[in-house]
Amino acid sequence: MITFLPFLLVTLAIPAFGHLLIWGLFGPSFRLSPLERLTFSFVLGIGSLDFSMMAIGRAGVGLTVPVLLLALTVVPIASAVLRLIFLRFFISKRTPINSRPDTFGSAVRFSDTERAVFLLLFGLTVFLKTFYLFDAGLPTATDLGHHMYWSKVIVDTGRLPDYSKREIVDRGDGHTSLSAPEPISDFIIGEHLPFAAIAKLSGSSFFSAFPISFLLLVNLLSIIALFVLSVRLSVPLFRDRDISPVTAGLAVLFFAGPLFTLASPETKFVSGGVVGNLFGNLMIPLVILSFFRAFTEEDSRFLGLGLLVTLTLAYTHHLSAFVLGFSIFGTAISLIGMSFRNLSGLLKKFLRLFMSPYPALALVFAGSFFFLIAMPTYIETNAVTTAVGTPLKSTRTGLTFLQATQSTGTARMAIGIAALVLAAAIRPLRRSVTFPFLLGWGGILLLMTIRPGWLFLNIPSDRIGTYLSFPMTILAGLFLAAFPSYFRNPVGRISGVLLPGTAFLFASLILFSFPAWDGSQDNQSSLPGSVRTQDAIEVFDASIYLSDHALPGDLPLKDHNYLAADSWMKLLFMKGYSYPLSRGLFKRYEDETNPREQCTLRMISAPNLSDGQTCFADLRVNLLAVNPRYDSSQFEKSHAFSRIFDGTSIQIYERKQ
Amino acid sequence: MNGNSNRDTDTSERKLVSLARLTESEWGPACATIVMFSIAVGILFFGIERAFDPDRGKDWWTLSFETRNADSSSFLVTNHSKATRFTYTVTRGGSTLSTGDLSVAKGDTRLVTPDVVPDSGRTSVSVSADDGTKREIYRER
Repeated sequence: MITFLPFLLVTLAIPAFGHLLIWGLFGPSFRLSPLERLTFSFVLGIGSLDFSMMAIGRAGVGLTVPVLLLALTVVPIASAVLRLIFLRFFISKRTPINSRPDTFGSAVRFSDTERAVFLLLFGLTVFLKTFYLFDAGLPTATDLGHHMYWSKVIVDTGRLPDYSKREIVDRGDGHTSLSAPEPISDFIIGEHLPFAAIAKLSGSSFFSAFPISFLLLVNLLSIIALFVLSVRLSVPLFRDRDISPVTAGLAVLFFAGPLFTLASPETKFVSGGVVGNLFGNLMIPLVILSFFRAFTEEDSRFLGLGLLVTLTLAYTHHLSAFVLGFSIFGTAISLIGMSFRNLSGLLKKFLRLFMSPYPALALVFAGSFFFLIAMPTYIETNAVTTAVGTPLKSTRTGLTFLQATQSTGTARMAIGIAALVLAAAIRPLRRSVTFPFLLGWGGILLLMTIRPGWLFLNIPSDRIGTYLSFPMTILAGLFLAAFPSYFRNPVGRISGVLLPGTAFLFASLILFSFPAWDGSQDNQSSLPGSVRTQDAIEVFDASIYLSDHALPGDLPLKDHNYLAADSWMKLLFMKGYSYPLSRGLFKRYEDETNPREQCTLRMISAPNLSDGQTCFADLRVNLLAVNPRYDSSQFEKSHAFSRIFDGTSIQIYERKQ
Repeated sequence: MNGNSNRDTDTSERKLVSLARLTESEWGPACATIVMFSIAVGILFFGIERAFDPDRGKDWWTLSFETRNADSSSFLVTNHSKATRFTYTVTRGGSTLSTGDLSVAKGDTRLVTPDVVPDSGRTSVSVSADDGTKREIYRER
């Protein structure tokens, strides 16, 4: 029970040192609300840890516990010491700390009621997510297993991983062979370094609650990020209205927190180990928040902060970085469109922001790291080019509007689009600086989801679709917050659409109950199905047996279709990403657009036919792990295989050589 | 006079900064976030540690050869089930070569070494538990 304390201590040290880093980099007058500070501290703590580990690893120094402690602490402490020296010797005591009035400080002030509602909504969110993850049982998801393998490589070797795997290749003469290790572009090191550091420093096992607990924190902070972003966005948006920014944020929290809290990209991504997307969903709103505050408050420090978060994201997840790039592009286009009559003013504003020390230093750091220390693997392997171009596969040509709506949540999509239409129709909203940010972010993601061909995107559309839920959540929440003000009480000279009392009450009830019903339905349909905890435990036990009994030169093959938690088996061998080999999902062997080897299929499905026997001879596979409920008879009737392990969910066969 | 004016300006600016900091001192929700997360972590570690326990709430057992050595018929019964009494039979070509009983408590593993050397053909070890479940392993030579 007490085993969670070291994990908690190390995990919470990340935002603590991130907090120190923010203080050191941006000084005591840098104004962030506590919730903003918490989220940015976590991300900058992760960034500092990642870049330190990459630099140390590239220098050939082993990533031992003392070195990792240095990686976690040295940059934040050094920046804080330098800041102290700067403040002590270069800043006069009579110099005002910051003469600019804080027009946004009051935005994040909670009333007692708002504080209670926040605690209620956030508490309910944490409860629902924890209940789901508790009920889901063991961490067994395929993606999580793949990611944890690479993190364990870092822990076991003390080195940065070489992302490569051996492939089965067709030699062209009817025979196959195993290739030399080839680079993999799917994994990015930022997805694995934090897990490795936490495991090493806290002594936590990967076969524990630590991976999903850490991902839960990332997910919860992404919801906080949405909340603080909404609060900031609503300040200029509702300047002429009596709408509290925190209340607007709470309306967004209503949509982002307890409702739609289990389906993708929320808790299902946590239990599924969709590491990169979860980091992306935290960092994208924070980058937009930084840029928004830089633009509205004309404070270049926020631009510097946003660039640092962007850099961290670039080394963590390619798709999220790609989506962020497009979101920024969409926002820039919207801003230019809205400021068409004053383009020179907009340009001067941008130049003022960029031509200042903080963004310049962030860009210099990014350039130096990129060219001198390490590039992200997707740049090194030239994977970006595969994401750009005319989409050909049906899974990449865009979702239908109905599919996009189901992916985002019907209520969020419907109310979000209503919010965009309302904002476009009402002049003060349309002219607010918030509008181009929302239009640019939401609009470009909608386009990327349903019409990727227009933007020459060649990426699976359902994956892009998961990013759409965030801007739609903000739009829907802001609409909910604005509804009473615009449809009931016109304030001052600005008129709203007055509804008769009964109609207003009826509309309010629908507006509240529709998302509540839709979000709850979504939660209910996402509850975990039959739990395969015992099956997974048996597979782990059999894997340990196999690992203990495997000899040099042995090559096992396991089945991915029917074995529980099979992607975790390689963590019990640690002999390479492709060890054991795997029979993949059946549909992959039939994909005509991406022909792949058939040996892993044949050696389990038809081991006694000549094709299967040729594969055994070519690859020298001699151990097979299968689920006896589906794949037993083909081995039982053969005299070439001995059954050396028998369980309810897994059997191991040895082939005579 | 001018100095006083500057001092007044500085004072008012410092008051403004203090006010801004005061309005930002909303640490309650941030602290609540950390506390709630910590509680969730405690619950998850508690639940998942139980899930990893091979005996708690589970009912399974396995049968395996002790070694990969083809000349050995020694086998292991690893028990995480309610059953405690097991019966084994070693057969080859329809003939029973060895049989016996063993008891294995929940959470234990028992090594059995029958006095049988695998020969050509299939030598099987079948084990039945007192709850009616059965496992079988075999060697082909």
